[in-house]
Amino acid sequence: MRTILRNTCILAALMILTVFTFSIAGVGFTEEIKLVFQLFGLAFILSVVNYYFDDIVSLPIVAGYLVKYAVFVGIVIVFGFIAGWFFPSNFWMAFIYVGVIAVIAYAIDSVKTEKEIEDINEMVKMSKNEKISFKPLKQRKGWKVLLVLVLSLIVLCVASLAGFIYVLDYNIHFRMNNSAEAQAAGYNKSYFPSTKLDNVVIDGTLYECYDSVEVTFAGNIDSTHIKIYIESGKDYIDGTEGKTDRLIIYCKDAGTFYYGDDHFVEPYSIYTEGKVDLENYCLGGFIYSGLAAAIVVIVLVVYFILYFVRRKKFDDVSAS
Amino acid sequence: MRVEKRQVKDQPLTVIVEYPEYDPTVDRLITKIRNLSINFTGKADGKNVSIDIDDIYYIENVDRKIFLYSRKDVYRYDGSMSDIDSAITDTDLVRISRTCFMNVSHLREIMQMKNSHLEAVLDNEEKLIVSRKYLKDIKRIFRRKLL
Repeated sequence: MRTILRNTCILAALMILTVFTFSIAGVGFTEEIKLVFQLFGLAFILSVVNYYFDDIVSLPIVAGYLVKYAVFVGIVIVFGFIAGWFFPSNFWMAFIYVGVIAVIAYAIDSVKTEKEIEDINEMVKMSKNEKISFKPLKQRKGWKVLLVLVLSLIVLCVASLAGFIYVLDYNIHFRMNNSAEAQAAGYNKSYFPSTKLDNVVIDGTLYECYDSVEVTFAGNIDSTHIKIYIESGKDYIDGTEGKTDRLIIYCKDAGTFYYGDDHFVEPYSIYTEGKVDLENYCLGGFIYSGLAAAIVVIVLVVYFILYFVRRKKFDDVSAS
Repeated sequence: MRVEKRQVKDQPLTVIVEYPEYDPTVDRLITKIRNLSINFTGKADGKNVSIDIDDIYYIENVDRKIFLYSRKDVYRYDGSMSDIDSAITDTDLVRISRTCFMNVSHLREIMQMKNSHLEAVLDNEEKLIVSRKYLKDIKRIFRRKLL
């Protein structure tokens, strides 16, 4: 099974490389093709580092993986910045990507190591004509390591979800308060999420331009993308904190200026949503830790299946 | 298996293996005979001593000095780790870490310690740290032995 899986991965990699190499001739060196080759390049660098790391450093499995994690995150961040993958704001994603791979690699490696030790000890006994006994689950360490990993990942996943719900709740209250304040001041419209675009000149007047979404009720709830224009120099409460996307605009219509999807508005306040970064971290943590937990659960199930298959085989051989 | 022996004067010790077909048993026999001629020369109390490879429990590089360990004795070896590497092909000696070779015929068991270090316990109660990277080499030697 292991050989089949390994060969599948190698074959898939060769197929991807071949297909994309031919694609270069057809469509040129597109961003997608560039990304594929960059990923192969990064995988090569990481494999070389991993090989020499194992050769030079002799650490226990946990310590080894912690050091490798730090080294690989560093490499991915440097490579990502050179390749233009990361903006200064999202380089932290490398910690999550590498972390997920490290957790899975550790889980598989610890199970593999346990099996190799068991095989060697069996072979030592066979070479000395000693009786071989089958190690019961209680004495095995692999499944305990996997179980601790699964539980830790579930705790992380639930904590991330709780954090996400908290931030969502916080933002709902934040919006309700600001909306109530704007309505009390006579401004009855709100647009979310809005993204600030370049300023534009219309009929000789300079306007701040925003891309936004308008919810419509025409039988079904629907939404359309619109452009909002605010005359430059107008006073409004600025709570954007320097951000230009996911903004909430509280306003009212400004006169009768409508051109198709263009809305000219009188602003009351423009806010950025509270704790947006925290919301992203929580959502990312929930998705990735959930994914890692699912993979480790699959590894754990395979572990138990293999254990019972091998045990049955051992019992059959012993009985005969 | 038929064993014949005869004295041939003024000739070096020669072993001729005749077989109807080359199989793993023949291969194992030839390996064992070859191993008999592999010796390491170590120094103990200023004297050179020839040590049979089967008597070596493990070989360790400590501060760039190489030591051969038998059941009870320790000998200083003047060669390098790469000399040992090339001399131990098809023998029971296997590298278990960057600085240590172990004779698997004296291995009792391998244990995983609580700090997740791997430890090889030898017949003389000696304990050696094993790097995970070399586990498959140990397995390979046992597979060959058990053929």
